Amino acid sequence: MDFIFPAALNAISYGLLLFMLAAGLTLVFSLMGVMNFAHASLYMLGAYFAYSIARQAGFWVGLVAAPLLVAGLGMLIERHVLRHLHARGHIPELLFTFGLVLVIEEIVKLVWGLGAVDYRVPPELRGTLFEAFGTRFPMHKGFVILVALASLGAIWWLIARTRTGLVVRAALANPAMVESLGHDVGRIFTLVFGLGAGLAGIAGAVGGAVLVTEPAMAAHLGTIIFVIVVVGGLGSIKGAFIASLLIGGLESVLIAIDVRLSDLLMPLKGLSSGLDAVLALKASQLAPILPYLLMVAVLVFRPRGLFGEREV
Amino acid sequence: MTRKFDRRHVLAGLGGSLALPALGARGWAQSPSVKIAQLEILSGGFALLGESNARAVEIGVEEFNARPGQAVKLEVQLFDSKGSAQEAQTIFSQVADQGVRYVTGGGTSAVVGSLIDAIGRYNERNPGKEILYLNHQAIDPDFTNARCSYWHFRFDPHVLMRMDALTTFLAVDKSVKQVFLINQDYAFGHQVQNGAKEQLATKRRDIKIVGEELHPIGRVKDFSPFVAKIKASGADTIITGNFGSDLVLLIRAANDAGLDVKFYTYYANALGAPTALGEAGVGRTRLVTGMDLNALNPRMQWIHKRLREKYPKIELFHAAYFDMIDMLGAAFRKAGSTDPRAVAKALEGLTIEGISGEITMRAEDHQMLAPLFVQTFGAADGVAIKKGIEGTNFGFRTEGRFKASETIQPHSCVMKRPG
Repeated sequence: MDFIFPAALNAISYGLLLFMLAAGLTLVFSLMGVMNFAHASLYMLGAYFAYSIARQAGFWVGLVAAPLLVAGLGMLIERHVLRHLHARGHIPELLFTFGLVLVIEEIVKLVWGLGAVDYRVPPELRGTLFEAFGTRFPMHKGFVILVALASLGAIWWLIARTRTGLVVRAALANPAMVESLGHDVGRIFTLVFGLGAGLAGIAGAVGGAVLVTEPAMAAHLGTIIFVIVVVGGLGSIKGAFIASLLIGGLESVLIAIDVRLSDLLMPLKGLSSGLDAVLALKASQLAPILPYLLMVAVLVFRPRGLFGEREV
Repeated sequence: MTRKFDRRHVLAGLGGSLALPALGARGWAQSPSVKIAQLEILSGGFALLGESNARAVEIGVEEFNARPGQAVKLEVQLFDSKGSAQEAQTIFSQVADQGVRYVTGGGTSAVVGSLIDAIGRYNERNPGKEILYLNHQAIDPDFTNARCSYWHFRFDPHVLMRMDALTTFLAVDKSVKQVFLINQDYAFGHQVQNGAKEQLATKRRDIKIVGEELHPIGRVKDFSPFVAKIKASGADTIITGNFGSDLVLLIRAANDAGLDVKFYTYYANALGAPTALGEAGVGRTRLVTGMDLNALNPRMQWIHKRLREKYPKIELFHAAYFDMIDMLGAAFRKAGSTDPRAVAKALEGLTIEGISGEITMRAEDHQMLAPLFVQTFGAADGVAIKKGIEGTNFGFRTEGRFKASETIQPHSCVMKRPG
């Protein structure tokens, strides 16, 4: 039991980081009606921008400036490319975001090199937050939780509690009506896209320092947040939240428990030699494929996801 | 952006993707240089490993070609295997069509295994156009045992030879009582895990293996769940073959959680690991390696200096490519030819002076016997640890030296030789 507790804290920290990404992605999905494949690439840019700024002006400046840069970049993309493509339907938008993934990855490799860069949390965050059951919980993990809760709280307040948020929600639900009421819907869309990109930027500035900043980071997290958004239900923030914690937790817990498939499925033992190889796998070895199994299961049994309003 | 656009890097990147030469088939026959196709992982999570290998071979070849009176020059063509067996096969067919007769690298053991198989098939169907595979880094013992091939030569001591050196050292350390094995979930990682278990069982029966973990290669971004498990197991020592980000992130998570254990590793001298280790790794991180950076011979000193000047971001961490280049040159001279059939024959049993002592290519299984070093992480003092690596103040001090003859492991290779 003594390693379940640190595992749970790890899960929450990782899950909230995933949620920062998934929240932005699902927000942008509500707006565009298509998946933004480049969302994780914006996360990666957040990390690299923060790294470059941090080397000149320190970590804290990078933490603030990088997300703003990424948000600005996101708004430029929405204003000057996606808006024009939107008129031509979903496929061009989808293809564009997919192309953007490849372009951003190549640019990152050219500018910052192929390997991981040394982007770390500053010394004041390297200590131990507290010690429990003989394992230290590092301060930077607590910091991830703090940043995630703060930025998500701010977004929630903005969307649910302000007049601007009211207009945004209205514009997402019925843009034509809001436009005829005299609001600039185009600007609102740009703002929402920027917001999503900014969230990805914050997640990158924090996640890059806590995990690893490398050209492959977008591809790695990209698939996971895709899974989260589909499992949670496209367009549902609540669903994204539950799915983030679920998938963040799944990995940590599976690694923590020492179970082989054969222990769970005793009766199947000895059926065939091929099956024996599968049964010998440990739970921790299954951790990487479980999110994808979960996605497939959700798509088969509940195509709109846990809390989604529309079918995929 | 803080760094200026690095033009050389851009060109190198382009070179990697556009490396298909405009030469017609068999163009090499008229040219005085021997072409070697080098496959490395130049994109994705292990790109730095591939780039380090590519740069080191580039400088090694530069030194080789510049030697006075060097009759045969080497020419390396670099390709991105992307760490995929499929991609490597495609590249192999292309270079084979162009008449390239030597292939090296590939990436992980999975990729290299598929290359060795493909070359075996190709050579069976194309007598007179045989291709040799020169192995500089894939150390799965199977390649010189159950899966050995006449067309494969390995210039790097394999997993069990290295494990033998490492466990010989570990066995003397009486404070080691409980060992945890954490490795990458593929052929190499499995070999490290099994090798450690077998060798510890004979060398130190009192040591308990308190845990074994195999994790997906290159995909774990946060090792803290594993570290929590290691901590709970009560282990005092970790043995791991992890390299690149899989080692860096494991070390980081261990330091964060305050995990106080010894690390016995294969690759702690490279690709970000020394940086991640820092002060916390001093005195408790061990390494088995084929090269002593603190005692390089003049040739290696030149290569080291040149590499660091030309590519400041790349560290010298691996020795096998330099012995490979030298041995190939010696085999050309001995055979009086650069034809792979003659060269393969010449390589068998060849003994030369390598970069850190005598090296021999064992004829029976094509495994090179070379010196090994066991080293411990510590602060650079200018004597035992000449210089810090990766811009840190830390390096590795040599504590154990094994001559080539002391690293011999039995083999089970039954080789099909050409008639």
